[in-house]
Amino acid sequence: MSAIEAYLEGVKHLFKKTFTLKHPYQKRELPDGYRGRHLLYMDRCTGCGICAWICPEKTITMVPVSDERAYPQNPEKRFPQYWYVRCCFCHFCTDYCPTAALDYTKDYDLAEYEKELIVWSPERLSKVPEGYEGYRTKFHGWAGVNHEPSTK
Amino acid sequence: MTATLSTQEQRIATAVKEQLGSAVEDVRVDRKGRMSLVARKETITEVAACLQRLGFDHSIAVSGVDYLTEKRIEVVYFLSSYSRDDLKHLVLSLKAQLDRENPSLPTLTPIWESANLFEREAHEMFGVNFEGHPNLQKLLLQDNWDGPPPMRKDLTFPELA
Amino acid sequence: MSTLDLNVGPQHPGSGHMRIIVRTDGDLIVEATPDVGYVHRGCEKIAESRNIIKNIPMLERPNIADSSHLNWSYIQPIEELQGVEVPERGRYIRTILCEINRIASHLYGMAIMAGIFSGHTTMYMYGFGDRELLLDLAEMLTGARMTFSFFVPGGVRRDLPKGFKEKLLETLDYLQRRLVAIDRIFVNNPVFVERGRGVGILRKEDAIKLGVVGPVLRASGVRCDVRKDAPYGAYDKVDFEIPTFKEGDSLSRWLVRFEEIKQSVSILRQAIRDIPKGPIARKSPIVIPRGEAISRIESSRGEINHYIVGNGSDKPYRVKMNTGSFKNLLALPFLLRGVRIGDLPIVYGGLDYWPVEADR
Repeated sequence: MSAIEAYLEGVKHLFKKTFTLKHPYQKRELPDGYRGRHLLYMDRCTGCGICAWICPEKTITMVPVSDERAYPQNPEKRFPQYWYVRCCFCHFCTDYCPTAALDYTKDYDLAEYEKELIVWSPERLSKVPEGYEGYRTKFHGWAGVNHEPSTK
Repeated sequence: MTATLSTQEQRIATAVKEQLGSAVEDVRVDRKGRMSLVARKETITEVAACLQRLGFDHSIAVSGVDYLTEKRIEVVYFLSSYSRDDLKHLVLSLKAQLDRENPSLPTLTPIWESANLFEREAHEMFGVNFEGHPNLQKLLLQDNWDGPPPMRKDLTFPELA
Repeated sequence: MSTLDLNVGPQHPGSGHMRIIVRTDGDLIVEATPDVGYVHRGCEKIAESRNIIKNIPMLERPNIADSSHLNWSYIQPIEELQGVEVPERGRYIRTILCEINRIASHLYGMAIMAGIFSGHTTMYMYGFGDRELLLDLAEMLTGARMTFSFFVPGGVRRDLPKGFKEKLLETLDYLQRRLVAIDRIFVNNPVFVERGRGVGILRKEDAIKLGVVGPVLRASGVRCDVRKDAPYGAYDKVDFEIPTFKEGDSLSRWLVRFEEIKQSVSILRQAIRDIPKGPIARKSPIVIPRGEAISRIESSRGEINHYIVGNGSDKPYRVKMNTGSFKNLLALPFLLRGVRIGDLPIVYGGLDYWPVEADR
């Protein structure tokens, strides 16, 4: 009797929805506050260095920035520079910054072909990343769960 | 603070002081559910057998601590109980203080078998010799490690900060 | 009698790196010696040269599938020494994240034992596919799918986001339906039952003598669970049971995990219904006062403890980690004596040994 129950349970799968997501052509929609790479607001950073002190992996170094803009809150023009190979994406730097000059983004694909490009300068960190259309999970009662475009 | 301490801890403290007398020193109840007592190297087997009779049959962990400025190494056995419902919430720390030059202690594996692997780790990390242990070989370090015991405080790795 | 020495590992599918040196007489195992230490990184030594906050991501990575319990166990003695009390809402949020993590880790353990070690790939797909939904929930709450670094001394880092309660209840409904399907396809399946029933029996007296913890202990008939014996977090305010079995064989160890998932679903429903309003964290300084303290947390593989000695500075003087896998390691040579070589994966999978957690 238990064998028949098991077979019927298997037959039900013919009518269930598929969970597979065809990554990278279809990507998941990420929630707000997702821990991707960091976004630097250069008109809020004062160069105090608390982010570099709290970082567990010594990812951050404070470097001088040479451009003509004047930053009144940062007279020495020192900004954080990230060496992303060492980052563990714990975002203690974002939470401990006293002026909220760092922020979360949904950009996670940081692989590069050249070693020098993995060091992100402050100017590069202050560019806002582009978004994409994502897929989110949807439950269908007894028919299971699948992924659907989030704009639907 | 003493008014909120549970009577279980006080009962065990009194029983230990009665049965062991001068074999233990410094029997203390620190907080609710945490007790500690200090035994000497010569009396530790007797103290451990008495504690097992009182109902402590679970040896949770064994740790070594290196107090460099006070020139001693301390070995702590954490004990609790599997079978006694009134002792399940309690952790009793049985401490032994050893000389830093040549630390050695009789093994407690005949009484609590689960202290076997912990004593092996304390031997390779702190250099403590457990007399009578069945198999005192390296557990976690590589076989050809020939340096000093790594967890001692005089071996520092400043690049890991 | 002439015996043959064989090497199982150090690379094998379904588990981390550890080696078992097996001495066999024909098909029967005469003696087994585990050789551990392949993933020893010296966490305890590194932790003495970093301050409290910098230690959090490092000390939760020994077990990536079950990291919030390691995080909580490191934070609990620091809060005890500092005298900081976590507010009520913070305790409920910690319990919610830990129970989500427990279900995800048990699905992982069940998938590995039934899926990879005994060849039923369906259970592997079920376990890992359903685990994705729980990781989505954790990502919504903390921002990361594994190794959340979410607990700090004094409370938690973020509050529950909008829409979390609805998504959690939807996921729990789906999971309960799925557990019925696993029950019909696996628990009553004679092929799977025959592989696990009566293999690697651990009696109650031996379990107490060897000092095992976690589901291995509860499958041998000892009713011990730190969540009931010494409650922490919000566990004294929710109602749940501790499943125990009498047989002590590998199938019972799998079934204990299966029943514990059902209890975790019930705890999550009660916690999300009763969670009070209020602050999520209290301020706490980056300093450990003089003294020593030990924590006790029940993770999905057993009881974990952190023993922290402080000396007044911002770095701990000594951190000793003890995990469930390290305690269960002593049972492995005892259980493998007298079983056949073909039963070795089932006995090893039933213990749910995680090598990085044991080696630190």
